[in-house]
Amino acid sequence: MTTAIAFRRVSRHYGEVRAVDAVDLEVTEGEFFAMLGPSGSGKTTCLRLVAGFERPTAGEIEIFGQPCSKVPPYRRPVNTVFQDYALFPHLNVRDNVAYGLMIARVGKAERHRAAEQALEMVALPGYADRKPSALSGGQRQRVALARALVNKPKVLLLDEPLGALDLKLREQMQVELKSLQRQLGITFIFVTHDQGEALSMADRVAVFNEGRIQQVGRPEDIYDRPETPFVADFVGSSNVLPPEIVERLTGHRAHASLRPEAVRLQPGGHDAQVVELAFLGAVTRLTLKMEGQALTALVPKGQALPEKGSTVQIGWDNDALHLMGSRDG
Amino acid sequence: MHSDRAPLGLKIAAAAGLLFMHLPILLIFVYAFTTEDKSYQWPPPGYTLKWFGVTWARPDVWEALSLSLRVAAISTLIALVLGTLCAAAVARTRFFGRETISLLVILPIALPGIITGISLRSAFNLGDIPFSFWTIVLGHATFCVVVVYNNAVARFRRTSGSLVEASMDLGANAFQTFRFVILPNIATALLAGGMLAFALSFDEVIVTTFTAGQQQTLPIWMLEELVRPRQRPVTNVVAMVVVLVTFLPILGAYYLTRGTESVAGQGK
Amino acid sequence: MAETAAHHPAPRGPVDRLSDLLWRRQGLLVLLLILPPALWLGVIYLGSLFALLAQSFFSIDEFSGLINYEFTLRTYGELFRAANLDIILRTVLMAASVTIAAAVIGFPVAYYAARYARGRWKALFYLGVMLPLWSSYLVKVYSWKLILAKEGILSWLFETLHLTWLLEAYLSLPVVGGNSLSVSWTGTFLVFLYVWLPFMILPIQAALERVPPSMLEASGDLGARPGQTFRHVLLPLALPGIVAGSIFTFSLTLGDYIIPQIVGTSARMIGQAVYQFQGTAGNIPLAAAFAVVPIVIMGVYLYVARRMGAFDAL
Repeated sequence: MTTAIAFRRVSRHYGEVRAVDAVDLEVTEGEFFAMLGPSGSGKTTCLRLVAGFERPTAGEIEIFGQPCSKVPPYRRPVNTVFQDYALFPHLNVRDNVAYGLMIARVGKAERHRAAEQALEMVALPGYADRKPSALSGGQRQRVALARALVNKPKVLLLDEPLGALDLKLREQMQVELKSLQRQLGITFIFVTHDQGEALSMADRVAVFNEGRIQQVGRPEDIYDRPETPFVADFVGSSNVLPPEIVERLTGHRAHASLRPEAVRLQPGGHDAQVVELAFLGAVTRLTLKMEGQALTALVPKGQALPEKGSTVQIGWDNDALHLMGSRDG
Repeated sequence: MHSDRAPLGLKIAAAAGLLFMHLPILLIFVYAFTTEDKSYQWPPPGYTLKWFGVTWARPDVWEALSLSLRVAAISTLIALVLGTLCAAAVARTRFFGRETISLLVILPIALPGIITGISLRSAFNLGDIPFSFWTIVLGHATFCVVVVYNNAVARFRRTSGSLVEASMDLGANAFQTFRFVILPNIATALLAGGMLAFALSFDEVIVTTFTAGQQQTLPIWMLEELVRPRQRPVTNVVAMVVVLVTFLPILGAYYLTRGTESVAGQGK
Repeated sequence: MAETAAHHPAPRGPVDRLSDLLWRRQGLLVLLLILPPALWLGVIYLGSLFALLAQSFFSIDEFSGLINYEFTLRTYGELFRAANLDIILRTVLMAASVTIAAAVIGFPVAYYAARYARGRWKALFYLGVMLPLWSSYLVKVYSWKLILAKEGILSWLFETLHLTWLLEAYLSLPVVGGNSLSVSWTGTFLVFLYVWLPFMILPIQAALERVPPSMLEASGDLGARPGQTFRHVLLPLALPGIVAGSIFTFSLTLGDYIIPQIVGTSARMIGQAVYQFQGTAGNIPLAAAFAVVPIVIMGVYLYVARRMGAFDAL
């Protein structure tokens, strides 16, 4: 398998601020790779470093094995779908999509044909003559996608591309993006702060916090076996138990994560107080307090619910408690 | 005050203010047709078109007009280049001395024109530079920069920074990006700024009196007529033509920037 | 399809190479952009300004009339002679009256335009202020020469209304009166007011546009009478705009030498003094020292205005 993008100890500092701090990462060709993290975690800066809009303060980025610190954006085999789409307002949809080909001196007839094809691919035929201002948010997004893909990039970078869309459209686009990626076989690097999006779409996920990568792995691994309390908390709001409690429970002194859906009401278990109940539809979320530690539990619909303020007994399967390394979030 | 109907007093005051600003200019149009040529008598004793012919045949008016147009054209061109460069640098990046640069651009119109004028004149004196077409242009371009700058900087701010990145991402180098993305997006703002700069230069008199020497621009020709009236009817006609000529670029600039950003408060 | 040019890692020519350099060194790009305007304004404009300032520290030899190129504060001392102080005081007074009058007349126009005018009326108001602002300064002055002339429209108006006695009574007043309106202090004042009024209206309107109507309604809702709403809500919010406008009216009046020369009394203002000292009198050091006065006044004025947040309304 070829490495499409490699970060070699890459840092990007702005004065004292370490937006990206000594990141090592390899993205394989053909992968759908997600960079996940809260805002300011460095994920977008990493994307901009690959695109060439920013230059690393230290380290080297390789694109298909080629170091590219000295290669400007316009000569990198990557294209970007911007968060605000960045469609050229003075050009119609066709000329927006054909822009890269126009710069590359592709003949007018040929580039227009290619643009129409790309628009068909993103399910937007017949819109070529409109101005971007006459399109809806979802349509602009598709144009931005077509404009990037028409250049046949080796890697497609997507910067929170679904962030501005409403929920329904977003779910639809998630499916479409995924199938598009399979169909084209292009490497996708996808930046998002939405863990659901990252987990459902990506082949692999890198979780960012404060300029560093916390964990890289397949979605199941990230979800089931978080390596740091930050990952446990950020990806799926897991309960993070402190080392003191974990030591009493298991004998090991380490942080541990415990998924809310793994916590059961179970007579004979640990005593916990019910602090709050929140009805979420299919499940009810209980906020509990056990030995002074706040815990959440998800109770499926249909089960009997305890009273607020009452004391209940809770338990979980042994393998549900996942011990984590010492790296802090 | 809560309703959306203005109080009568306010309506009257606002209308009176507007009338105060427009009636005097309209008066000029009447005087251009008067038969009286020795005084400013009102109401005019009669109306005639003959002064238009007289003015048309006056070589000094034509020469002054031609000089004014040439100065305005060249000054506008210089101001367009300098103002756009300055706006691009200030709008896109944060650098040391950014505030100073903005202040420096505004200074030539923020300070009274006479100071700009006398400064330039004393500098010409010190440098033994004789008065010429270019000494006038030097002064005009200096205070025209701000008009272009203001228009351009507002447009740069509105234009999303990711457009430039998108263009480079799609393979365009810096110069192609300028030609295919930046220029089309700021063109109308530049045109508007250029028109206003032209109007400003075409009309300028205070600085010009210090930098023109013996040359006569149209405003200087008018100023002499104002101080020592010799050709009242011709002056009336010239005044009316000047009003009409300056209205065109102003209206043009207004329609170009309408609904995007105001050209307000840019001052002269 | 073949790979597009965006995917070739090597530069394609000298233009590309230069573009690469600008991408690698963003600072160089900014420097190249800023250099021409900074040089132009820095060398030509600031240089001249300093040349002027330098002159103000020289003096003129009273016998030979030649400039004595030695540092002295004597020229500045001359500013404090009674006749010169008079000129400064008169000019500042004029600038202040013009500014206040412009604010009073301009406010209703700006308020109406910002609060009530909609659609076509809004555009009309906007153009109604922009056209006089940008139309020829000299033509505007000229129109007032026509209006104020003894045989002009204003005298005719008073005569038609049988109010000539009123005009004459006013002209016989000391200070503001005179032989006719065109050679009186009042005449100068009117022309200044007319010429600079649009410069006051636009910033006030800009400031008022930012006041949400709901804020005025809230004030009324809380029991304020219209007068109270005006004093406690509207005026404070419009103040930055008024101050911004006053920068123009004040500065422009301070430095003008053409209006008082064409319409007004023989008593001079700062602009005229500068013009005459550098021209006919040939006393460039004193002219330069006089020119510094408006700079200092405006410096103080701008400093105060900045602290009041007036620059946000520009």
